[in-house]
Amino acid sequence: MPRLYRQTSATFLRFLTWLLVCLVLMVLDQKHFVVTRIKSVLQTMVTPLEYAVAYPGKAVVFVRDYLTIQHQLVHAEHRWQDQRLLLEAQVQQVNALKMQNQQLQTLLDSPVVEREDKFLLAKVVTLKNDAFSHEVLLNRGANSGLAIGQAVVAADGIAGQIIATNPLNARAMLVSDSRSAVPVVNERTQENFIVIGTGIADSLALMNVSSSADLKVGDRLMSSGMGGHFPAGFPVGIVALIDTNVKTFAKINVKPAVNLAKLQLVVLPIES
Amino acid sequence: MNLSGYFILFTSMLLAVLLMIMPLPDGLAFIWPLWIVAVLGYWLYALPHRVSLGSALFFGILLDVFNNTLLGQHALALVTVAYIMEKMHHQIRLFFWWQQALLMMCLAAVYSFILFFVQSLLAEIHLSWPFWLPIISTGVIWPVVFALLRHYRQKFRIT
Repeated sequence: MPRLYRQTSATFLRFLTWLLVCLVLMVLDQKHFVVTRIKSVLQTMVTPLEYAVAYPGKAVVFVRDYLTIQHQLVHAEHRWQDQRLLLEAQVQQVNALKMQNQQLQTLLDSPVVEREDKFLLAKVVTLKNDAFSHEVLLNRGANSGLAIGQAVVAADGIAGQIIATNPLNARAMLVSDSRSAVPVVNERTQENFIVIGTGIADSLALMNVSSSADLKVGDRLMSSGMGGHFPAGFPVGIVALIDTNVKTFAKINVKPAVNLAKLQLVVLPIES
Repeated sequence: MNLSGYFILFTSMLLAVLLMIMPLPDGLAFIWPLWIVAVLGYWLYALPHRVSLGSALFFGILLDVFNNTLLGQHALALVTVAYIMEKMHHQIRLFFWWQQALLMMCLAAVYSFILFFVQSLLAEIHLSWPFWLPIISTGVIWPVVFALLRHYRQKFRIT
C-alpha cells in the first residue's frame, strides 16, 4: 500500500532545498562560472534528441517538396535562372568597383586595407519561437570556427547573432528576439538608429526615436557596423508603420528583411 | 512498481519535454500547450509517492539545457508547480475534471510567470497577448492527457 500522507514540513524543506539549488545554479550560470561549461557539455549530449524532434517538421517539408507540381518547378527554375544572370552581372560590377576602389586607395596612400571576408554556410536544425526567445540551432559549431557574438546573415540580410556554441552546434539569437538590438543606418537619410526585437517574428521596432525624426514608411534600414558586432551594409528591415501619437517616442514598426520564420540556410562571415 | 512502470513514467515526461522543444509552424507554436505541466501534473496527482519535486527538478534542468536558458530557470518554475500540486493533491482528487483543468491553467500560469519574471531580470521583455495562449491550451489538453496517461497507468498497473 503506497504511503499517501507525507509530513508537510519535510515537503516544504525539500521544496526550499531545490529552490536554493535552482537559484545557485542560475546565479553561477549568469556569471558564466563552471555551470555554463556543464550546460554546454549537456547540450552536446542531447543534440541527437534535438535533431530527432526536428524530423517531423522536416518530413512535412519533404512531402510538400515531393508533391510540387511540374509547372511550378519549371516556373521556379526559370525564375532562378533569371535571378542568377542578374546576380552575375552585379558581381562583375562589384568586382570592377572593388578594383577601382583599391586603385584609388593606393593613389591616396590610404591605410584602409580591403578585407576579404570568408563565408561559412550553415543549416538551421531547429527554430524556436516563443514569447521570450527566438533562437535557431545551427549545424556548425566551435569546430568550424564559430564563436559567441558572430553575426548570422541570410540571403536577404541580417538574421541574428551567435549566443552559444558547443563543438558541433551553435545557437543563434534572431533579430526578432526581444533581447536583440542591431545598430542600423537609414539608407535615405544616413541617420543612425537601433532596431530591437519585439518577440514577434515578423515585426521589429526602432528604439527611442523622437516623433519628429525624419522617417518614412518604406525606408530601408541597413546595418551600420557600429559596435563591431554586425558587419556594415546588410539589410535589416524596412520601416512598415509609424505612429507618432505616442507620448515621448514614436512607435515605429520595422518589417525584417529576412523571413525569420522560414530560415533554412544561413551564412556566417568569418573574419580572416 | 516494476521496471516498466518507471520506464513509462520517465518516457512520458521525456516525451512531454520533447513535444515542448519541437519546432512548429508559427500558428501552432503560439497555442502549443505546456505539455510538461500537464504530464507532470498527472503523475503528481496519480502517484504522489513516486513522482515529486526531484523529478520536476530533473526535467526542468533538461528543459533549460534544450532551451539554452539559465540553468535552473525552468527547473525553478517546475519545482514550484510540483510543490503546489503536492500540497493540493488531496483536494484535487475531489475535483471535477473541469475544475482540474482550471487548476492546470493556474499551474501553467504560475510556471509561465516564473519564467517571465526570471527572463525580465535578464533582459527587457514585454508581456504580449500570445503569452496567455499556451496557458489556456494547457487546460484544454488536460482531459486528453489525463485519459491517456490513466489508460497506460492501468494497463501497466503502475502504482
